[in-house]
Amino acid sequence: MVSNTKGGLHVPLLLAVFLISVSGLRIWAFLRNWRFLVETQLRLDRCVGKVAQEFRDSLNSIEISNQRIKKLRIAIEMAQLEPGVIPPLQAVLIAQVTKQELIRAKWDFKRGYWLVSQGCGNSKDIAYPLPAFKFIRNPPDLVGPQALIWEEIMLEKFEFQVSHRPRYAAAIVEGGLDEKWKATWSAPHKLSWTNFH
Amino acid sequence: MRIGNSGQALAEFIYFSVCSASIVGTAGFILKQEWDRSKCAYLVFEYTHNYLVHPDTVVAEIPFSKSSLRRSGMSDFAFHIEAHSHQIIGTGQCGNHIEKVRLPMLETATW
Repeated sequence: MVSNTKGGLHVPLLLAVFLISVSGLRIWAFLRNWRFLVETQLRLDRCVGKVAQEFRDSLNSIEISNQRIKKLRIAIEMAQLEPGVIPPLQAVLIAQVTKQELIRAKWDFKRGYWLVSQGCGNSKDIAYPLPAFKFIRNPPDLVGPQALIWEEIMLEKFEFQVSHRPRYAAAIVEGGLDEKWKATWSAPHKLSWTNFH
Repeated sequence: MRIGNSGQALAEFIYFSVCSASIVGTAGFILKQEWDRSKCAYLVFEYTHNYLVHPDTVVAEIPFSKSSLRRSGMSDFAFHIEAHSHQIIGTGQCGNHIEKVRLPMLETATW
């Protein structure tokens, strides 16, 4: 019987290829997982960040418009002796009111879309509902339309959060009536103490 | 004289074993380098992002403990954070690798 020794040469090489392949696949799996975590985090950050900024900008715009409406109403009241300037002032007043209504409508649409699309568009995302604008406007008087007022005591901060296990992104918009609203990143919120209604 | 081939086979076996060990060693070295580099980038991102969300937390304690870093061969991981008004910059060093991550504050972030 003649023994064939050619196969013996392939064993170490096969072992080497096997070891490299297994190591490579394991490393690839880890790298893929890290990439997934980072991509998910950045996607959530971007999504939550954009909506928080939009809410901040909307609140600031409404606050600025409210100030203008109040000043315009005072100007209209003081212009009773010169009736000629009242129509243009009222036109500006109505323009400000229309602007506020557009902002509110846009935000309401955004809230609805947010619910339908589960926040950031991924079916595995868990998005908390967006806060509502609880502004009301009293009926117009002789001067014209009135400024918006918050229905109840206004919260000092509004919270935004989307999670996609094991990641989450959370932000708050805080400020006050006298200062501009600001958006900041935050730790995750618990639903029980948020402003979601 | 009868020439046997068992000695030849042994010589080739040793030769190819050395070759295989060299290939595995070189590949392992390259993979380890890439692994360290990737893990360093990931760690720096995680640390920087944690600081962004929890700016009051002690940086050295988040998000991975020293023991877990040691277990994963990252005991020499050093992290430094710079907080600016519009962004934070996290710099991590793992051996010879230096990774830098910039993350924007929400108030100034643009997408």
